[in-house]
Amino acid sequence: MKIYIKAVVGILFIAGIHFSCKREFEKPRWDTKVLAPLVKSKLTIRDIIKDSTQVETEVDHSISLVNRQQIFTYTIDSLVSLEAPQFKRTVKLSSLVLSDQTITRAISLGQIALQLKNQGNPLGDQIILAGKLGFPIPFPGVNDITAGPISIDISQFFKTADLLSGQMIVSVKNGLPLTISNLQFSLNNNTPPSVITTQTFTNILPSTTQSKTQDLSGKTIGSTIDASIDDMDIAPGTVIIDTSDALLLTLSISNIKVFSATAIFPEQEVVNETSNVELIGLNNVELTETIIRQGTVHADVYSTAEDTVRFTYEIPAATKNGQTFKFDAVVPPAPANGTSHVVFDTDFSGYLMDLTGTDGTKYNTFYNVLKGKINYTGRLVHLSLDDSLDMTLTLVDPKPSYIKGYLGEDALDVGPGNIDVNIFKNISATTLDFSSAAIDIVFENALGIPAEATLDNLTAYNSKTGANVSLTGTPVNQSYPIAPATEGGGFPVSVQSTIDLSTGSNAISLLNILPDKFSYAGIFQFNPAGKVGNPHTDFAYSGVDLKAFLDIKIPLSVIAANMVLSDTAAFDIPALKTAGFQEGKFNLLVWNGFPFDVKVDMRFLDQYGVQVDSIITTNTILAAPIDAGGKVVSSKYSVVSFQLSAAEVNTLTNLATQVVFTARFDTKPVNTHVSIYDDYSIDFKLVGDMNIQVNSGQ
Amino acid sequence: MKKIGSIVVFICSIVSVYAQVDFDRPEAFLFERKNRLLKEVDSTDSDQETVSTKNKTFSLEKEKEYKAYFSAYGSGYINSNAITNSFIKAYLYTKSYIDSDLKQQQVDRLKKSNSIGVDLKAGIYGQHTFKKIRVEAGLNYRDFYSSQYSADAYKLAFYGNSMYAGQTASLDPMSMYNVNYQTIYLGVKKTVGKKQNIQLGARLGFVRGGRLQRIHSKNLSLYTANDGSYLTLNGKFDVAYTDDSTYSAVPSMNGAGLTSDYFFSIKGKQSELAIELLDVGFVRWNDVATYKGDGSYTYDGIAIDNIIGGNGIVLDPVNLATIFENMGIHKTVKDVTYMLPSTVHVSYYRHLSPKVTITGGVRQQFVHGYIPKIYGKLAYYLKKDFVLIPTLSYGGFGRADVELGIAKSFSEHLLVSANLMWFEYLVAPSKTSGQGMSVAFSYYF
Repeated sequence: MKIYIKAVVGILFIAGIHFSCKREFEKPRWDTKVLAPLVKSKLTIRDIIKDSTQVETEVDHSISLVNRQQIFTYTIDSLVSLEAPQFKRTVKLSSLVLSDQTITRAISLGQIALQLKNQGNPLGDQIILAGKLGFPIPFPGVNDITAGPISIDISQFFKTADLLSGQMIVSVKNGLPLTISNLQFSLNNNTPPSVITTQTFTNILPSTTQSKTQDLSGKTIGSTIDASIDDMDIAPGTVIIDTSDALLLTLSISNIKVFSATAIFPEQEVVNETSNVELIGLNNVELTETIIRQGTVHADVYSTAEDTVRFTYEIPAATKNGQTFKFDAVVPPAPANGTSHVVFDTDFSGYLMDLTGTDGTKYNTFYNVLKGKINYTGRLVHLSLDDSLDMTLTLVDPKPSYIKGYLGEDALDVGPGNIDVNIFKNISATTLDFSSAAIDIVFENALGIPAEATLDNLTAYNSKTGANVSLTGTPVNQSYPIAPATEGGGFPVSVQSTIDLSTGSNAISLLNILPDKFSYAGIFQFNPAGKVGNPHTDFAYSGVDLKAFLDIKIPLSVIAANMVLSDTAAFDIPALKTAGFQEGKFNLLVWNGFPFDVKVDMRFLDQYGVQVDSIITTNTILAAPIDAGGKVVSSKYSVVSFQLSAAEVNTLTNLATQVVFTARFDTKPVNTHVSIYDDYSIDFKLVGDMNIQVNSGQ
Repeated sequence: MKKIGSIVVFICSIVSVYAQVDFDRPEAFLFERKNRLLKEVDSTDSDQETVSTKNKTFSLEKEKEYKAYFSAYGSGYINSNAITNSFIKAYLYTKSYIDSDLKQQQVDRLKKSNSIGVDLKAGIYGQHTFKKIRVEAGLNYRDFYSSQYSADAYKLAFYGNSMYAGQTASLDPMSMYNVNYQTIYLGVKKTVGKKQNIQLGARLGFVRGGRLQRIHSKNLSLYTANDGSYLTLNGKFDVAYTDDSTYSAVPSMNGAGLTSDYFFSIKGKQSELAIELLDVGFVRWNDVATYKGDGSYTYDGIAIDNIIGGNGIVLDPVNLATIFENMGIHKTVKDVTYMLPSTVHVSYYRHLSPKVTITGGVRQQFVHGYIPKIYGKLAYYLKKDFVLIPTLSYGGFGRADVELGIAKSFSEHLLVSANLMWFEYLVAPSKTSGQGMSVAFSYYF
């Protein structure tokens, strides 16, 4: 209606009056009769069949209906799992080594004299007195001198240590001016008290040194050692007595291994292990390599060592950008008599992993190296060979982007299953006869595995009519080889294999019932020839799959009688709502370029799907004539008329939200297959000859 | 807005309009053009100013002197050479249903070229005299509309195009001009000449442009296909309008310009010849939507790409832009300048006796559809402060018209005046066109 008001009245005619009469206080009304085109449109076969993927243009520009429905798909993740067993290790310190150490103590003549004096031996005072003379005096020789104990602090070595092995070298240098004819002394651990060693030296000439070695295995040594001279005999002679002259006692410990110690430890190796890990759950699959698409190495570590433990996990066979997979982790010191716990996650994606093991002869196997150590820290800590490191390494949710090897002999039951076919969804017919049709099962194999497919059953169903037809003939229960994909430039090249279900079968019968559903069942077998002769060159990539489709292709060469095509479209014409439509006759001018007679009805539905009105036409849109070659010569002009009252228009504009078109087709000439070409179209224009009451305020 | 609308309707319903400074407005007959003849005197009795005609001598009233003058006025006018007062009543005032008889009544009066015009004005102004120079300032509101159209155009509008199936309707002539603007102005008047009998004046004003709607065409016609499958518009046309999304009596500002008025008169003791040129100016309109065409343009329906496609049948309201776009006529938006509807007016009056003054004149507006309007007035003084002014005229947007002016002064300071063009509307609405009124209230001292 606005078309009329604005187009015919407002613009073309007394535009001035209507411009000025937009004023809200001016709304006079009058009746007019308007003859004007309202809408126009053009439909080609591609407009009628909304889904463009269902229309295919042949070389001769004829149209075929095509429909592809996927039956199944098989991916790299369906083929294999890269699940690896957890790598668990509990390691103890295999040895605790302490550094070699040396300590020297001097026992002076003065110290000896004082001890003698304290023991009530007059020799003590004599030696002290002689030491003050400063000139040679005859020394009569002394036997059975004892002294000590003299404490020696060795806390610079350790606080306490339970020694597994090691040795102590005790050296005595005679700094006295007289020969020591006999020296017997002992070294005792202060706390707890125990004898470390007792040694005897004879005839130690002045300024000479004698040494003795003591095995320390099994000893417990604290931070203080008590040295005692149990018996010392000094030979006579004339000498100047100097009380500062002394015996030099040197203790050297070396090659110390302890069971436990509170010590400043040097760097200790905790673990160093190389081992194979075999993927699990692969059945007869034998992988030689893979690229990890996603995955994480998860490390869960518990330590009782009171020092920092550093470890390195490495999979030498996994490389990315020239680098092997490796990560370093630090486990902090455990509290005394406690445990420290840390978790590490490291991205494993993108690594190319060799799966032939350490010697290159295995499958599904990679090797890893675990190293752990305690660094020198300069701190005094307690370590024991009972300290442990519990490590659990897990490969979390690994997915391959590529696999290579022998990919097994999986046999799949495909179906029973159903697939919907909507190519005939909105079509019914009294008679519908296609001149030809093709049904294929098409495999697009992007997996580098040979396979074999067998179709057990294919049945077409029309759920509206209840009709069903099963495929019979050659294609049923016959095995068809499915060629593997090829590999080029690091990418798979998909190979298509087709099972022709139309040859030697009743396939066209399945389509003539206008099916809306197919049921299917079959078997799919990978590597049907087994491993024999397979050089482990199967492969698969992620993102490209093996797919199976049911393909239907129907050249639109058809005999149709009372073929009904119905469709629903949105309906909203605000343009009519504000117009003063009274009644009118509408002519649908049609230029039909299709070789079909057509009758069109329209049913209008409200928002709840309830019919609120309908337009039933009696005129037929006549078919376009065709020439001897079966092609349309020219469009055929027809006029379809219908009346609408104001009440009906009011209903349509206020209630209708959808319109259901029902088009009935009859091919012409009758009983002749007519083809549809992509340049066929139907043009139509809706012309209204309407009584309009103009309200100039609108 | 409703109040404003009501005021405008009121004025529109009674109106005949003159510019606020028209020399022949009713109040002028008690002021500037007041009949100063007092009584017949002996010609030898010469101690007072007299004027002599062929046979008689009249004493003269002393010319009125004043320092300042204020006036408020409103006026409206609608006239047509085809549209009857009955139609105008139904269309504008009662907004009622226009039936077949009323439509046919217009058809019977249609000519090859038909016109209709509306002029609404309101304003205030004042004058003050400084050393014999009168300085004037004022505010003015104007909504002017005029159009010229063919008989077929009327039939298309009020009967529809169905009757033209297979035929061409002539839309020549077709023009329309509607401007709404407001003015603030300043002017001067000065009396010159040896006898101090020549008056010159001019005003200059700033114009605030409110609304522009303009159609200009040449050789326009519309062909309706026999089966209605298409309509073809032929000819040259130019459509321009400012934002028309909402109607307002005082639209927002859409342009600016200047306007000027000019006056000249020469005056005798009992007569005066005056010439005035009014509303000489322009408005520079901003962001004007313009559709231009010269040729043949066909409308054959609104295209829907695919009615059974994704959007279904969805047809939004069709408007001017939709239709033009469908025809391949594209809108441009630009600034344009148009002249204001100017008027030239020449008038002459002569006092015949103390009770009678006659006036004649011609007025021309420079818009399509307006022909020179010739008029004659007879001012009859019932008293020296009360005058009736019947008027006969021919031309303008209409043809022959009858008006009655009336003016009364009170207390030598207040003037009330009106000009009524209701006679035809009241007596023979179905056979006449034109109605209107002006009112003015003035005070001087």
